[in-house]
Amino acid sequence: MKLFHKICIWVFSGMMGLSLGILFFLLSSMLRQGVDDVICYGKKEIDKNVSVIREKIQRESIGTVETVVKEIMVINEFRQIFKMDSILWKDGEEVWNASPYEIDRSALSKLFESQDLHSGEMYISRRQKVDGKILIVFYQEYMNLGENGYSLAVYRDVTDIYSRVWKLFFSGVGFTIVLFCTVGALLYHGIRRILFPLEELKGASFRVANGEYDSYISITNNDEIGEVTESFNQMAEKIREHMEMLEKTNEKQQQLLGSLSHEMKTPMTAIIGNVEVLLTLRLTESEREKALFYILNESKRLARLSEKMMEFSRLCNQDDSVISIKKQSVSRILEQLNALMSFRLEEKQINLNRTCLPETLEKQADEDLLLSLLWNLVDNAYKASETGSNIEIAADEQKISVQDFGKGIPAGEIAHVTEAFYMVDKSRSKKAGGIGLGLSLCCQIAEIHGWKIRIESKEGEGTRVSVLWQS
Amino acid sequence: MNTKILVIEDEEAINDVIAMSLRATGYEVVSFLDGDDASASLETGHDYGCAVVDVMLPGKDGFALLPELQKYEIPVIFLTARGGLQDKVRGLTKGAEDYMVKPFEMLELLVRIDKILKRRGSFQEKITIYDVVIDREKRVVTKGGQEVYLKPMEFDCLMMLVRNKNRALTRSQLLGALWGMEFEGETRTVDAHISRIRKKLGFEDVIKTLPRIGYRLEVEE
Repeated sequence: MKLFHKICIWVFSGMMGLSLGILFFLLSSMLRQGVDDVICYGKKEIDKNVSVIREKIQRESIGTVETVVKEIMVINEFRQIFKMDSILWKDGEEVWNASPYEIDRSALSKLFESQDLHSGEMYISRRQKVDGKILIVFYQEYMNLGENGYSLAVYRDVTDIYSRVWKLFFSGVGFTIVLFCTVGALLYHGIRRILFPLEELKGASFRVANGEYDSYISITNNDEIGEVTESFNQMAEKIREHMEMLEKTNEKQQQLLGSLSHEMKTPMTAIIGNVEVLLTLRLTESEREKALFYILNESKRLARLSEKMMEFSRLCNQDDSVISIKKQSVSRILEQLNALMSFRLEEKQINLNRTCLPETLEKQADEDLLLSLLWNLVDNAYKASETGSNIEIAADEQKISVQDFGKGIPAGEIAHVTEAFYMVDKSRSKKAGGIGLGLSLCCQIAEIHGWKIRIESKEGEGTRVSVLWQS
Repeated sequence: MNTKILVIEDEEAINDVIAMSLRATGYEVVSFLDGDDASASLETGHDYGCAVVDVMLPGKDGFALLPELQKYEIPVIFLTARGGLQDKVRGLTKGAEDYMVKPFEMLELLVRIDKILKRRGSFQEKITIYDVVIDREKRVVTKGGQEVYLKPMEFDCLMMLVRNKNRALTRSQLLGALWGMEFEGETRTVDAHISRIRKKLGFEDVIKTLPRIGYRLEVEE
């Protein structure tokens, strides 16, 4: 069952119970009050009337009056005072009955006795239904009306009270129904309004589950539902960001994997072909050596490729435990770099000029990564440089840059050189042992540290690659 | 005169391997390392039976070279590292005769070149090895003018060896090519056929057995 229906059912049944309860309580107490009033008043009146008759009879029958005369006087007085709705008995014999009813005195007498009442006290019956009317009977037994032995019964008609209460009940019920409908309609809409965001939430979370991560809900309720909506929006946003990041990483890795398998095919073809040739053809000694040389070279290329790829994928799936960013002295790093490169640089008699301003410059970085970045930049510069030329590394507060005076990059190609496996001059790069991953590696390292890489180059004049410490 | 094959491939190691294999099989090979050089050379000489062209080349790439090669009616086999259907379709619809994805086996390349040459008619009908003449069309073998009867399977086996002359074929390669199956163990069938061919044609020294590898039909050029 829906929350909305549950709330409606509970609220409506609560309202119904409450209003009917109040109605019943009010009407029943009204009825009791009415009947009580009648009884109280009737009792007092009877008492008063009885004493009036008694006094009158005693006064008028001073001296000796015949019993018969006295009885007639009593009946006469009784008739005048009690009027129509009363019955009088003398020693159990009915002597006066102006009412339209026959009343069985012996039955009343039994009831009288059953309630342990004594003469002089009054028995009041419960309401009786007689001929469509509701009556209450008062009965007194063997009392003194100037003379002993009289019993009397008086009844009061309370039909009116009942019919009034019933009338009230029906109009009350009618009023309740009208009230119920109007309040109900208001409540229905109110609850619906309150719960509407939940519908919206349901739809939105369904959409999110189906991959529409930009499902926002524009509800600004100031209540718990508003809070839930707010946090839902935050969640959707987080999921979207996360998914986008995942997709980006995935795409990057797919691309890398595609390029990698493409890059691997060429050396593999060469190796397979040469081995095949060695196995199946009759070759001269020099041909044999050439084939072996090719196999060695291409295998080395594969090895370099896999090594770089390992480095690359380690950076792609950056694990914080592997990377430790600390304060590093830049001039110390440059010294290490020089030590690493010196052997290689000597081969081409290239000078590596290092400047670091100020000497005490320190930067937040991972030592190995920074070294690897600079190594790659200098290696690229080395490959581009002619024998005997210079490479300059200059570090300051803003950046560190590596400048060579070699071939330079054609203007149209600068945008592409950071792509994995991109090589401006493929055959030349390959002879120099390049595989086209150096600069993308540098970019990856820079990205991890929040740096930017800027490449300026003029064909034939040289290239300057700068790492901007602050992006 | 032997058929000339043009090889354009920028990767020296691969270029050399192709050239070596083709030469050993009896083709004449002209190879280039980049598209511009190849394109320039076409102006002066273009009597090639077939061209093996890498798609990714420095200078003019394979697709740019295609119209020039077609102008001289040279059938083209593309070589590429990209094995995607899109690339294949593009290569073939542009007019390439065939398409090979790296890494490939040399034998396959040779077979494909053979097929193309056969289709193009620039294909020798009669092959002479010492005193044996093989008529491919009529499937007749004569030795010193005398006809030698070879069973169909023996003829096919001989042709396979001749087509790949100076090049070793493994038993399973022969088995796969001739009997259309690739399973080990039945290589003795191959041995039996070879020994019958040797006996019938007196090729005991021409068809060499290479331990652990297979057989090679050797012809001094």
